[in-house]
Amino acid sequence: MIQAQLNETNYSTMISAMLEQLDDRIQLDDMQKYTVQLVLWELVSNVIRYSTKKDANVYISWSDETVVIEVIDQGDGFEWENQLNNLPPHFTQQGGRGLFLIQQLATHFSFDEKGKRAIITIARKKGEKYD
Amino acid sequence: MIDIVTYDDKIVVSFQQDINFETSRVMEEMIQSRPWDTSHLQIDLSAVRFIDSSGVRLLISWLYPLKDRMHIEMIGVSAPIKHILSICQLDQIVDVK
Repeated sequence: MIQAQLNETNYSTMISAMLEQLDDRIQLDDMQKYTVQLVLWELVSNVIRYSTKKDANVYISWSDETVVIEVIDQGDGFEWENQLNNLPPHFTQQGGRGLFLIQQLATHFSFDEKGKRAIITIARKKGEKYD
Repeated sequence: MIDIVTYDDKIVVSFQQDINFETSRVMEEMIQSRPWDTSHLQIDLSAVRFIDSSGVRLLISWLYPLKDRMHIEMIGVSAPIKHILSICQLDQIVDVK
């Protein structure tokens, strides 16, 4: 497992470090690597933008089949129910694409009831979500 | 961060680093300060390895209002970025190569 505590001053460096550690330990194709990077940027930047605490604990674990990313907001959580959408936002809409992209790329994506803990599963085998 | 070169027949915009939550605000200020008077806009993403939703938002808010006034094409787009742009339907308003 890889874990780190990210905040508004270290998040960019820490995300790069976590991606390097993951790359050293398991083999992922370019799209899988991109998806891990996207999930980290989207969820951590959400915490930095909207959380009351601007701190997140991030855990990355893996098996032969999946990579599981857990992001825990140390603040009061996030009202995610209205933000999840299966359709892409219209061109004139400013935001709303971050969680939409994660929904499209991940095999599984959920929040707990308080919106503090997000769990994302990414398939490692081709063809399970994209090929 | 962004190189902009104006030719007789086109403007070429080359992004020199990733377009993400950390970089997109300054990039947007550079982009929105220009008039974009051209019939052909070429966007070079060959130095860009990663675009997040902030980057997609930047591209859409810049390019959607221009789409009926000029031909817009993107070159040097990696396969993962192409996939991201397709999910967000940016390939409907831009010729992604």
